[in-house]
Amino acid sequence: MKKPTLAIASMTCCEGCQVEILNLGKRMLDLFQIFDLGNFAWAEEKRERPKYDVALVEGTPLTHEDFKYLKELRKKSKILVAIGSCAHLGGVQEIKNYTEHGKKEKVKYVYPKYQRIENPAVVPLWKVVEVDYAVPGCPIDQDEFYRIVSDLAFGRKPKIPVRPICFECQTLGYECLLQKGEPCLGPITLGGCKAVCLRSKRFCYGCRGPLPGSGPQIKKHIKNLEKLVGKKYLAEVMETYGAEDDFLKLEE
Amino acid sequence: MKIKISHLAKIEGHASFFADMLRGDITSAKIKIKIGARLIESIILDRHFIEAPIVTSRICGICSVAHNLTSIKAIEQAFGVKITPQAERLRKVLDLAEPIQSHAAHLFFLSLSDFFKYESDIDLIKKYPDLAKQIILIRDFGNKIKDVVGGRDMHLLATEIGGFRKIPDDKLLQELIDEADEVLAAAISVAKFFRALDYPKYERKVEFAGLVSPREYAFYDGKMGSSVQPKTSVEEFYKELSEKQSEDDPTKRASHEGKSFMLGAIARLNLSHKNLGSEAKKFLPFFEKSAGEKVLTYNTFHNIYAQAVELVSCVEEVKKLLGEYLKEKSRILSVKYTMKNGEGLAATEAPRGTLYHYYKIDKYGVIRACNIITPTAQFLDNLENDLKKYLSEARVKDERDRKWKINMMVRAYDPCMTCATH
Repeated sequence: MKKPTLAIASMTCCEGCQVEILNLGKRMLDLFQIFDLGNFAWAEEKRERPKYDVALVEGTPLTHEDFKYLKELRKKSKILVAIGSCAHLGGVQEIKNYTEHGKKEKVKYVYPKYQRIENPAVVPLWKVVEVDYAVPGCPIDQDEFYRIVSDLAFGRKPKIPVRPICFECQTLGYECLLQKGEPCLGPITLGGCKAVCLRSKRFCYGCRGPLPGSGPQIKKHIKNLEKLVGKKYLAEVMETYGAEDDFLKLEE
Repeated sequence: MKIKISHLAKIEGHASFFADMLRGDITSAKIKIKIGARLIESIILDRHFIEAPIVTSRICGICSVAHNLTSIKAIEQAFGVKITPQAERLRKVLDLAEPIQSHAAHLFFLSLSDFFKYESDIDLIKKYPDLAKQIILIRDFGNKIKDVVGGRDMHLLATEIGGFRKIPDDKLLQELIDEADEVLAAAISVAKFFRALDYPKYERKVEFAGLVSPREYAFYDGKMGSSVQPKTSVEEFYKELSEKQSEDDPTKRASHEGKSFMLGAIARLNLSHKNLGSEAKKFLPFFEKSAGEKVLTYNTFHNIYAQAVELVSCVEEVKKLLGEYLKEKSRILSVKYTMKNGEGLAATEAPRGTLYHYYKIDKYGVIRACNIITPTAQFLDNLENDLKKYLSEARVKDERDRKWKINMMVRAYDPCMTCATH
């Protein structure tokens, strides 16, 4: 049987999701057995293929070349998967979109010759090309990633169980930070990360995006949290991984 | 004649190389980074200080610990927070876990194939299966430290201003100590492998700079050491750096007193080799230091070997620090603090060199100013100068050979283009 071809590509980001793939260790070597690997910065000289069965893309397009390559990759890939919060929601760099004085102010602060810097609004992949699946999280969860990519290798449709972060948090017996008055987004965020933040007593910032199909609960939870910590602070929390627009969009 | 490599493969991030050649001499050499500007320093302005270590960690996936801890240290500096000795021990352990994971990845996956002219690491894994297993064992160890102590193997969760949010499980720390011997043996065997490689002959006298400490091989803390000037405070050295926006890409490159200089593993080894662990010291006779020279080597390619030596030393140091931590009774890892308006500057040694974070915070805890200078932004000019000299001197057989030489030199630096642009 011919091995399916795989691309692991980066737009602008911290490239941490690629590092998480590397961090799979022995399981990464298994992936190299299952797939015919093209274009993975950590393993090969770039060997761009004419077609891919699966393309995994991290990051957000920020440069002209990013946009061009993303569209090209979409054209030549059967399945395109957004990996990580940047590709899925916009990531930390999307904070720029929410700022009061706008993106020009922001680029001026960093660069004296700011006219030279490409400075588009930060967008997740789905606003540019059609995206088939997302592996959420900042960074991606290794086990979930491995499961989803294995499913794709064997032609199965990958699924993430629709349950909130609270499901895993309670199962694992972590302390509920919402009850302590912290603005935890756990109840309205898609689970699957083993409530890793709660393990370190850190409330959920919603980096995996909203829990699908729960618009009314999301609206209610956001209202409650606004009463708890104020509108401004809650907005900051939701903005951190670029998820604010995603939460509010569902609210409508 | 123009030389162009549109995609420099196997580095962190995307970049191209351009050079002009006149009768065999390279007259200009440029690295152009093809990553967008995320504006990390300005997007965290007007936000609460607690977010700085979270957001700046995302500057880089391969050295997120360095960004996270440097950011925390700078904010602690602004508030005048002093953490407990136990918390400091664990932070040092975390800071050592990063070069363990990062160097191991660079040595095997990015650099090694240059010595054998393999195009793919899949071939490399087939040719050296034992070495591949050792590298994976070492990386797993580094990542496990980050998970046990920092709450995750990347973008740490347990670290916080004032110390830690969570006390790690003693049993898991003991497990790390128990595993350390096997990992140390693997690191030694990797270092032996890299000692036997044939490094290109090349030398250029440059300044080496990095944190130094009287009794430690400094990563987490120290004064700024230099091979050409007396050691000075981090604040003083930071003032001597100047950032300049590149003409060609969204980087701001830093120079020291107007000159290019070198940092990272080779600089640390040159400045601090006396403080290496005892096993790591056994790898020093490799260098043929000439009489009267303060430093061990001026050959940039030895940065690769320096990483291998550091790998050994970092594992030794982790074991020692964790042992000390477990022997102490206290598990107080967090101190209370009051935020106040102030400024803070801090530096740590990231795997690729000294990393600076600076913040100004107002009395409400809102970030009003921020500046971050990454290692790669500091050594890109030095890399271009090295490329110019090396390509002019080296015997180049053909275009393919020239491309290989350029790539090998670039990879010896282990540049991180995502850090350089942030």
